[in-house]
Amino acid sequence: MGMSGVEPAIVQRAREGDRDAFAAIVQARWGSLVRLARSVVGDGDAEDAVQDALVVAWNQLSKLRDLESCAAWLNRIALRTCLRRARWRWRWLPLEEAPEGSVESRPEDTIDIQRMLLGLAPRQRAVLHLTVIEGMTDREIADLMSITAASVRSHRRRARQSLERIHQQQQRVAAGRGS
Amino acid sequence: MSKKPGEDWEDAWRVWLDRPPRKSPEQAARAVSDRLSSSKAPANRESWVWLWRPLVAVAALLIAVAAVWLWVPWKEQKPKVMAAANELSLPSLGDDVLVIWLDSETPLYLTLASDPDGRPAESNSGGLL
Repeated sequence: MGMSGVEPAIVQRAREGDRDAFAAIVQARWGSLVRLARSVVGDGDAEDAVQDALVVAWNQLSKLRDLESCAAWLNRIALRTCLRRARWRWRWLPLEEAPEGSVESRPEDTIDIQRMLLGLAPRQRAVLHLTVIEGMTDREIADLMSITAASVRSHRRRARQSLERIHQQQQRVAAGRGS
Repeated sequence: MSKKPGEDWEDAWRVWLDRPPRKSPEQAARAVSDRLSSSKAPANRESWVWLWRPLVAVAALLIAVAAVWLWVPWKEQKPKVMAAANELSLPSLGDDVLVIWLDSETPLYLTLASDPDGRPAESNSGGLL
């Protein structure tokens, strides 16, 4: 799964209200959660979304039964938070109006990652991230996102089709600039 | 070995994701802790405690439905009218008399007229005589 775990003893202390223990969990999971959030909500919103998710996690720590699965549980909360944010933005902020340069993209970059991701539906971004970046299986992704494995495959197929189309578009634009 | 079209994009994506976050883990932990100071500690909040609001809402709804079921007058009106109608001693009615109960004490008799041959009279207006 490629996601480092968190010591159950620390999780137990956090459940008992120890904020230092929770801070240790935040430190351990921060980088991984921000990577996931970047793919789903983009660079500008990622860190805020993860902080929101961590506050939610703190308030729901008593619901966590399996201390060993704290990392997966945090991923689920972060993903849900990011999808909620992204759905709103995706609906109200069309691709043409996406903020260019909100990512530190350099003019010489031929692949504008954030712009490509914005061309996908939020769930497609999440599925693609968990597949390509985290190397998770369809079953693991389905469990994490509370959808079926068939839906996972469908989201991934449509995501790849959209990416190919957007990539070709970007290459045509780049070629047009070059000539 | 040449790369497939998607692989360029995936490599670029990984590089993009690997950039360090603006906040370091320590800064992030501090920022989250600051936000937690306004919320209560999660300790001792068992899952059933979160259920009290929905439970109270469901109980209130059940009480309201029971109250409506027990006390609304319309529920008893219809049987009362029928009982009163049965208790009244009606004169013997012919086949050409129609009785309509306006309420429990007021019957309305309609007599269908017939012509001398015994056939129902034809109405010019097409309705009741």
